[in-house]
Amino acid sequence: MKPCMMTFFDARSRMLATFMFSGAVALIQDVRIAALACALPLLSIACAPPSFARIARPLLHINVLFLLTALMTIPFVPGETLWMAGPIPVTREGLLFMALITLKGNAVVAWCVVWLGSMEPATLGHALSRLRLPTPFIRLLMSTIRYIDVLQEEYACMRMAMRARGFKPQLTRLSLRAHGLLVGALLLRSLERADRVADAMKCRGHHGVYAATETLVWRAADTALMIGLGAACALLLLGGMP
Amino acid sequence: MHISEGILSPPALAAGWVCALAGVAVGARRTRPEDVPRVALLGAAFFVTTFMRIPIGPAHAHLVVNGLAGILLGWRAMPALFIALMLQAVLFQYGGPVVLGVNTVIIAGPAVLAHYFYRLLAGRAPGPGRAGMAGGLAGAGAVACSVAGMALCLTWTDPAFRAAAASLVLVHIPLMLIEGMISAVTVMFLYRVKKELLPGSTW
Repeated sequence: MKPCMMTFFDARSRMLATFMFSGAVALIQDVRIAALACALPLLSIACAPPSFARIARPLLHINVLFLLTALMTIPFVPGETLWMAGPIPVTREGLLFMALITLKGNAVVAWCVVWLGSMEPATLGHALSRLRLPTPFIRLLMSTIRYIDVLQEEYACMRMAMRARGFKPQLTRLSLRAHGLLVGALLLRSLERADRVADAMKCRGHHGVYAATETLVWRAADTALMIGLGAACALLLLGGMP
Repeated sequence: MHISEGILSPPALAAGWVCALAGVAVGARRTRPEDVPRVALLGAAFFVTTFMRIPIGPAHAHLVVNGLAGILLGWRAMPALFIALMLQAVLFQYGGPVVLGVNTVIIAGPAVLAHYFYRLLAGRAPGPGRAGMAGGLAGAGAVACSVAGMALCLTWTDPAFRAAAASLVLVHIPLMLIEGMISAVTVMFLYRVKKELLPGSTW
């Protein structure tokens, strides 16, 4: 992944900052404060702009979802009717309710793209390990991260073989059966690989702990980030909680 | 099938985290050290399988396969799916950090139910047909429970979401049927090829 300004911060502080910001945004109940909260991810984007596709795709995805939700929600929020869309009343409270949700959703997604989007999955695992999450969980996480790429390649290979035989995904019984067999074959190959991996790991004396290949260093900038963001979140909560 | 950030109320989010952490703790405790590679690889396989797209008219449906995960992993599906959902939130921003607890409960919770439902329907010595039928019903039932869970969370947050929740259930009915058929074929395949993977074995 492309290095950006956020990689200057320690992975642990980026994760803690994400949880702190998302938690604070989840508690905001005032649409003006939610709009103000969007300033933080916007500032982050200005400092370390991700590629257009990287930021646009998830934002487009959730905003289409929010638009559909708004169409089915606004008429059912009681309040002062602003206008009638045919027989359906559009209320002021309904619009504010959906605006609040949309702003909160966009703020958190944009924050996550900037602060976590540039993080390698393995770094995420090491950061969680250094944050003292339980060892069995970390072991499972690191093993999952390790094998996602391998299985993605295996899946792509199987799909290519199906396409070479003229298979086209359709909503037919035959196509669904082919998908079922594909899932079955993928699971079976995964399990065979898992057994081989377990044996190989045992041979090499693996005792369940993955060695960290990178050093995480908590700098003064990370402490400053925690303090600054903590203060900003506290201010947002003071103004935004009911 | 994820709930996005910003929608749910703080009590719903907090309840989701409490239930998810309890489930993940139970699942992690039931995962013996020698099971880790298998559980992790199955978790990775389910992560990859969710990219499978089935065309429905002009749109596509993504598979959830939580029923299959539950049938094969039981309680161990809780940590496996929690990790898959966490990686989806970090890598693709599906869901998010605060709503991860609720998303785990609505996807991994029905997976655990599917495990017991499969055992109940398949019995001790099923043939491939009965195993497939049980797998299909468990797969479709897990998606149905997940959708019901999403609808409940939305209406708990605000009754104004009732219409959105109802349409969510309707939209997911084809996915339930598709998942049911795919789960049935997969379970029948696994029954014929590697029966010891299905519930009843000791792995």
